[in-house]
Amino acid sequence: MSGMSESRPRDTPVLVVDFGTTASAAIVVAGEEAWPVPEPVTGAASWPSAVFWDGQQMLVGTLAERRKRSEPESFAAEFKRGLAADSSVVLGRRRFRPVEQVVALLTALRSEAERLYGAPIGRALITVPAAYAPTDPRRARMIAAAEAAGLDTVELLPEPVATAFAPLAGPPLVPGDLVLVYDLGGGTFDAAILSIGERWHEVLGHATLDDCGGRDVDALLAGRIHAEGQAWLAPLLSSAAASPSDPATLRLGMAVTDFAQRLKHQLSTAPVVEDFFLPNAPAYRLTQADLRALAAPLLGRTVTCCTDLLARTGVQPHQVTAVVPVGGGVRMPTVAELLQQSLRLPVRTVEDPDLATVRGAARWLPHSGPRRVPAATSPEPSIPLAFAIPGGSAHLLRWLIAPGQAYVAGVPLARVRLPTGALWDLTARVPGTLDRLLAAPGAEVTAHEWLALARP
Amino acid sequence: MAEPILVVDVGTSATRVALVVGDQSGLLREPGTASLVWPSSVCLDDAGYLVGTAAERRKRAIPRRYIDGPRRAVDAQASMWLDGREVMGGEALGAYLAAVRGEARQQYGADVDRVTLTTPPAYLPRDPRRDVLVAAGEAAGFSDVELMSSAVAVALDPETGGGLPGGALVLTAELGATWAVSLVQVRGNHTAQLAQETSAAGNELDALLINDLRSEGRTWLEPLLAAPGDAGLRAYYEAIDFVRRLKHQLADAEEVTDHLTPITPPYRLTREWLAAFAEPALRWLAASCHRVLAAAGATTADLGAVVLAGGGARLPMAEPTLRAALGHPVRRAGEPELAVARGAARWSVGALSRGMPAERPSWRVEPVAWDVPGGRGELMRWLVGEGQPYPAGAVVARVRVPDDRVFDLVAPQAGTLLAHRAAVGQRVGPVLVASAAKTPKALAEHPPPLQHRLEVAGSWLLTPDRQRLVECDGAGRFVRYRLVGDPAVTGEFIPEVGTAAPAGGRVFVGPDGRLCLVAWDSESWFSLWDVDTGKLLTRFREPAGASGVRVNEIEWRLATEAEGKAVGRYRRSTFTIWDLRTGDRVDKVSDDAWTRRNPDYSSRSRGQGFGTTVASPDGQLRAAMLEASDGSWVLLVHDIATEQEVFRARETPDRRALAGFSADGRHLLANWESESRSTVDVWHV
Repeated sequence: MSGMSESRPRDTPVLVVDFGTTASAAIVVAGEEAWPVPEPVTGAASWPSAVFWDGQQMLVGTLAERRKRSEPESFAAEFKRGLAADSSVVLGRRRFRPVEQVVALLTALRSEAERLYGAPIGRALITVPAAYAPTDPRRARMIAAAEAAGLDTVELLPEPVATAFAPLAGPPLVPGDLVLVYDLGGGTFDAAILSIGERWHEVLGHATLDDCGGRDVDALLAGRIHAEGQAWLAPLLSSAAASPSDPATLRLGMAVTDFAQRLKHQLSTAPVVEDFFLPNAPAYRLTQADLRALAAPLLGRTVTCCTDLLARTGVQPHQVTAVVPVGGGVRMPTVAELLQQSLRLPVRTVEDPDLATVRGAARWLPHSGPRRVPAATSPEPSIPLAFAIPGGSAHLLRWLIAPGQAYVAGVPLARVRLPTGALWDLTARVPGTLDRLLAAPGAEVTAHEWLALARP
Repeated sequence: MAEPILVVDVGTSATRVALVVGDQSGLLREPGTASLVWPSSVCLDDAGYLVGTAAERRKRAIPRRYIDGPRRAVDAQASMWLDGREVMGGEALGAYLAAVRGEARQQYGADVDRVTLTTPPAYLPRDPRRDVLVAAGEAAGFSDVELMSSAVAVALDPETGGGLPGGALVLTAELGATWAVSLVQVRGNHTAQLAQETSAAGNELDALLINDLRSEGRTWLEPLLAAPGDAGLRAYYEAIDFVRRLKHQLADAEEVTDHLTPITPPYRLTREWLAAFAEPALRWLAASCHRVLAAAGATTADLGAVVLAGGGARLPMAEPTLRAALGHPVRRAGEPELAVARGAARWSVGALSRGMPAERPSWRVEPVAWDVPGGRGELMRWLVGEGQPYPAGAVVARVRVPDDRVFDLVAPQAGTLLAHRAAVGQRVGPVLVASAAKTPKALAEHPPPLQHRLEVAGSWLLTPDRQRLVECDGAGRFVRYRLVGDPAVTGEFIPEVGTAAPAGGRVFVGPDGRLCLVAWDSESWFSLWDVDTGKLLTRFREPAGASGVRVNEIEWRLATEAEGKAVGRYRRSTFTIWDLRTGDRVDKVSDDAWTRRNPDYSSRSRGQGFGTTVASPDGQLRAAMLEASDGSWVLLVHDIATEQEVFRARETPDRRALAGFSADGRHLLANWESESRSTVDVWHV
């Protein structure tokens, strides 16, 4: 880093974060280069979006996951959902707002990224669901959380836009293509229709199922394990705890869910799996066909969501160039098959579907145009136009001269209405050419304020 | 060619219209009746709105779709019901104005796009009813809608507003359907309404008259009013018109008698009865005048004129009531109902003079402008503080655009940021600007404009607060002062003189900072005047006369120098010292070296704002006056940070030269002093 040429300043590093409901991922991008930020404990590319309050500090990621079994009441995950209401929850003996939990995870991501990169990182690009509309308070809360995490310049990018910039298998997408992004995350399902562009993809429409993610498949599977393993689970339950609210009951429930997840993950590469909940428990067997049957209703809802979205946005299925399945959920082997059968659209896959969003955002960044705007320069001096408006303020009715137009001394340039109702003309003292307008018609303007720039 | 302006005084029941083209104005006649008074009426026919006489003609056929004018609904901020249809006052007014605009186009031969609408005096700034009027004007197709208070218009009526000095207070009493008393300060384009009070007195008077008509004509009127369907309403409108007509006739008759219809009995109204009916309203009028004066902190003695206007001004008792209440003559035009329109037309004739020229840009400041990507954004923060320098390529500000990308606004050249011209968190775009200091090189390339040059046969002084320039006649006959940036004289002091001829005078700064004129005459009387109060502070006589006068501003003493006795080949000067607080003689010395030993005694003020080396108030520029070897004086201005010269000026005065900056730092001054005259140059920096 110190070997960089002195004449060219080092590219500003940017921390790119896909902040997911159940898992998050980050990449540091500086210029054309990128460094992934793996979870420090497991070395995995994605970080569990989880926090644990140990009474003194907030543990995040895998460290939090590991402690959840010992003190489940101090553990929280899926707090991204809470950003909308931002009402506080109890962890251990303290209350935390969801935005504080987001801060904790972003702080950890930033520290790890700075450690890997070797220098402070002040800029961030965070992907947010397409459902975060421009005035959605969750945008401001995400920005505030990132600022609180020490990232002073924070940009947001809609998740499907980022995803469509991820490298796809096969030929690249070209401007004008219509793409359906099918994002089956851990916690939610998001669908979006995009019109592909050079530097930006336009979101034509989007839809979300808040209760339809990989975790919901896990829960169904856990339910099945509970039902089928009744014989060996029930004694365990009754020996562990007296009441359903006992931490031991929570712990056992978590363990079953983790077991279900482990089985599901194994099925993404093997047609059949056999595993043990406890060393002394009987073997539990699950096939891909079992999983397909279990997940069918849930996946059926995602397909309906997509067809509804196409209908709502007025896009005919034949106009869609490709459907891009992303998110951890699409690792289930049944998904690609289902999409092909039910939507009848060409499916384009990405290498690591759970990292598509963060990788896409990292690819978008260097191609999204420079973020430096130089001041306008001109060989001629720029003259600000200000006026001693009688009474101090007025309503700007309209400009009487357009930018680029020349005028002579004494010519009325603009007309204002004073609070008394009187119309006054703002006139030129010396000849010139109007250059840029600084106040728009309808604006309240004050005396001595610069209303326009002119050239002699 | 000047743009035509339509002037519309929309009254509750009558409207007046004038057209102004350039410096010509004339009242427009209503097309239906050729009268200068247009009925304000509106009728909502199946085909749309009918207004004015057209509405009046239809009111007998469709009385439920008729209203005598939309103004009352605008005043009350309520809607009107026309045969079951709810109509907003503003909407009906828009239709009315559109018809007036159409008629103006007929008469003028071209579109009129600008209108002046008069507002009741009660529509104060920020009253939402003003927005209704503006919207109605815009809905009628006018691109520029000006509002003015009818009280201001009355005060400007050329028929009654003559001979008033600038700043005169005019009390206006407008007696229409509503009665309003207002106090207006007449000052050309800045004429303003200071206070007002409004009452529904006019309406109440009509209501009393109707009630009288109903009780007098109980036997024949009530059956008419009670008739079913439209007939009763029709009779009611007829009755209103009838009493109004009688009321107007009493303006020039003691008694009137008329018939509502050819077959109904006569109804008689006398001036005496009318006076009795009007008595409560007139009592309000008299009391209101005093309340309005008091609200503006004025008394009857301050009044320049009292103007009575509006149709109600024809009430025989109105003028005597007002005269008695105020003890002031009352002005009333021949056609008082046209006063508002005439005054508003006069105001509109002056439209071209209501121009505000751009301020002179500061010589040292230049804008730095960035085009915000996408045209708009939110200013996140300034990264360079006000007054701070920045290098080339520095990020000066950061903006967030609506898609949440964040842009750095970069300065291509090094400079110093003088002022942020937008606040953090503010919406910005399409351009964001900041003020930056020009580089010394740019300053040197473009010298500051000489704003004005002032000359006096005497001396100049810059007050210690550096806000005023004081001109003192060489003989002490007058002292004039001005604000530094403006050549107009803002004040003058002329000391009283006796029989002796004034011989000399200079202004000094007294120990308490007050400006004092030291003046002396041919009989060697010395007078010390306080310039601001005009008070004579002290007076004494030096019988020996004086060839020189010096003042010590610290000790507040004056020394007169007299040519003393000859000692050998020399004449030794004698100095007499006077205490300026008391006028007493303190000391008398003969000493050639006295002036050298007493440097605090000076022939020019030392406490003033002019000096040989001065710094600008912001500490960025230094101006120094140097005497060159050829006898000329050079004003040199340097940028303090870089020590680079940014400006110079040269003159050849006989005596000396001094430099100064105004307190706001916007003006650089040079005082070139010669024996007979003294010049001040003022540059805008």
